[in-house]
Amino acid sequence: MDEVIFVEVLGRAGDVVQRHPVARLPATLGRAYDNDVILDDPYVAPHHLRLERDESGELALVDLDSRNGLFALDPTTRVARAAPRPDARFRIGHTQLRIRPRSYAVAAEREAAARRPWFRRPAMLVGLYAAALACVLLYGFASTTERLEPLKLAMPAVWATLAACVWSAGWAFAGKAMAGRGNFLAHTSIVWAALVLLLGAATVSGYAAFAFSSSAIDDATIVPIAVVIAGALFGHLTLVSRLPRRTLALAAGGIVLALFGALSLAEYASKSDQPSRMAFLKEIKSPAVRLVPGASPEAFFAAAKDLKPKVDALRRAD
Amino acid sequence: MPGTTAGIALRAALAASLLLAAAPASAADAAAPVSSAARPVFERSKDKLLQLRALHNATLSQAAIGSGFVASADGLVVSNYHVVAKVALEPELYTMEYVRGDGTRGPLTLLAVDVVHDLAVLRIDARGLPFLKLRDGQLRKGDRGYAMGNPHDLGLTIVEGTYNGYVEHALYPQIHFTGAINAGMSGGPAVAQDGRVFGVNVARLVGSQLVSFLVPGEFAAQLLAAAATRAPPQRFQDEVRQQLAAHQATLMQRLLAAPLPVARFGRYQAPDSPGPFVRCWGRADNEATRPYEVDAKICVPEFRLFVSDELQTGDLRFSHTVLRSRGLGALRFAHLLESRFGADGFDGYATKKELTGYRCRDDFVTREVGTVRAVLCIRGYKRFEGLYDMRLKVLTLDRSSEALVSSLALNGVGYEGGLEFARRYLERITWTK
Repeated sequence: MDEVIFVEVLGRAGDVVQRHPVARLPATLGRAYDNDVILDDPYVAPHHLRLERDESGELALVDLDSRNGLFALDPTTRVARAAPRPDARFRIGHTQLRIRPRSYAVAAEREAAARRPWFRRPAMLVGLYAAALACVLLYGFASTTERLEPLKLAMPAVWATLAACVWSAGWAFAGKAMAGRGNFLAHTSIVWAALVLLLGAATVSGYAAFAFSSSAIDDATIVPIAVVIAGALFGHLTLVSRLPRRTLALAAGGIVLALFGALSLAEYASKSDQPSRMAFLKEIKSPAVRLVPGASPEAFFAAAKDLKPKVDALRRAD
Repeated sequence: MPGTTAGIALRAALAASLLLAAAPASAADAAAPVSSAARPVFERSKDKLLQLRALHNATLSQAAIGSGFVASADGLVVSNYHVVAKVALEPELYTMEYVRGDGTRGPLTLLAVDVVHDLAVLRIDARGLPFLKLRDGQLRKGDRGYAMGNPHDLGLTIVEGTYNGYVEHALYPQIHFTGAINAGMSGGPAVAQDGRVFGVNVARLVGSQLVSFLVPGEFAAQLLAAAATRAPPQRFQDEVRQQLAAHQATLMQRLLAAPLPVARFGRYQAPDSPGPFVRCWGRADNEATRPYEVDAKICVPEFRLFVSDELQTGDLRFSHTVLRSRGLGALRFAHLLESRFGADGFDGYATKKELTGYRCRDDFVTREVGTVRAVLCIRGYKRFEGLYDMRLKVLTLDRSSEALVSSLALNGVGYEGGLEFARRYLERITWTK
């Protein structure tokens, strides 16, 4: 038979780890050296499977009475015999298999991006770095109420640059180890983009919270901040790992959720009801920023009556 | 801590310290020379003087020490409330005992307290005791007086000093006594040359020379009379609560009886001292290197009630700060206001044992004159139902280069009265355009 069948050993993420051409049927798969396809998995029997054509000429995988059996996946069911469709996956021992004929039609090639992704473009890197430094400088300027000293003002930018380099170097080492490529500059691009977005989000929400006199806006700032951090983490991960993007996105989201969850839990545990802590909207901007009308004194103090049951409840809770 | 400060005014602060327990003595506390007149007074009084100790039951160790004196033949003893506060509020944890000059000791039963005047009456279970008589009628400024007690647990001591009349500005009358009263002498008697008690040692001004305070004898007489005729309260905690409530009601009545006075403050007008018992201090902070100027005024009371080591209350205080930009720019000036407005301030020492957390309300408040940012925070007293601490912060939003930040603290007030005063306070903050 001139037809060649390919036995593919798949990795965890569905990637092909080994590909064995089988030119002659029936063929056997197992750990022993007299097999046509040798699998180095201690959970695979010396002679585990036979790949053959049945009477009607269809391909068939047959379990050779192995201890651990043959499983068809999606969904997982133990079978003694199965017809391997080109996209079906099987498991023997801890090894995933796929059987494809030579005639298998592959998808058309992906179109290469006309340009490099944003975080690999030198112009973008320079632009982002400049924007981030501008943000840090502006932020430092806005929060200095003493006389301006250029050197003091520049220090946060220096520290930010150092910190970003150390952080990116860490990722670059990981990338070199895991994917063979450091991508140091691409990592720094991600840091600068994240920094610009973080400072931007904090500033915008601060202004909005004051303008609308809304603690809810202030409290919600944590959402864009978490999203930006998760996004940056996802960017770093895609540069250092070949796992599918979905897996990486889930990982980034999970890490950020766990981190923010733990932080807010710690905050809650430490000072939720310290008698000296006053929780109110602390953002103050220029008078012109205010967008909502003020309450009348009567309305303000009438609303303050609603605090009484809350305070009394705290008292009773003890 | 026992001996906590009880009044602070700006940096020039003079702090009145209760004379409860051993605090390190300073050079200023050196004993005044005792004249020959002191010896007969001491000889006549010494068997009527007691050292009072609050004992921690679990360890049988002293938790607070003070002094006291026998005031009737059937064993009534006068001391300060702050000496017996632990026993009054936590009778299951502490008990009182007395120690005489000769070292004999015995138990004391608490009969009555007067939190406002800082007095307590206790009983020794004995009859026919020698006792000190209370004096009718006033001394005159410059008269000699002799304060007695057990300073720093060093033994019974007599201190000669001068009667200087009643303290000016006080909400509740106190005698100004010039003499070296020290920690541990709290509750001890101050007697005139005739050997009769005219005051009870209560506090001294920290950082001053010999400035001490006595509770006038008439209040001790009133409490003794009440203790002799009335059964002691079931629970002193409730009694203390009632007295705090009555105090705040009196104070609020005084505060709300007349419109709150205002004082000019550059372009701004803001509440001024509501009476002689609250004194205001001014301060400029115009360091040339800074791109802004600060004018500050702080108004603090001349009184504050000691309730427990963790709670002093019953007072009000407020401050106004005008901030003026000197080329700071709107952006940075807003940041300056944010840091001033967001600071907690005025809170000092607050424990979870006595107080709940704050609950706050913040909003813009608009009146005819314009709009301010206002925050009102309220917390409750855990052991004294119906009493609250209120904090009001107000920031004017009239200009982007000048603003007034005002802060009001009302401690141990009722809900309605406190809110009403806070509302009037806010309405008194105005400015010219």
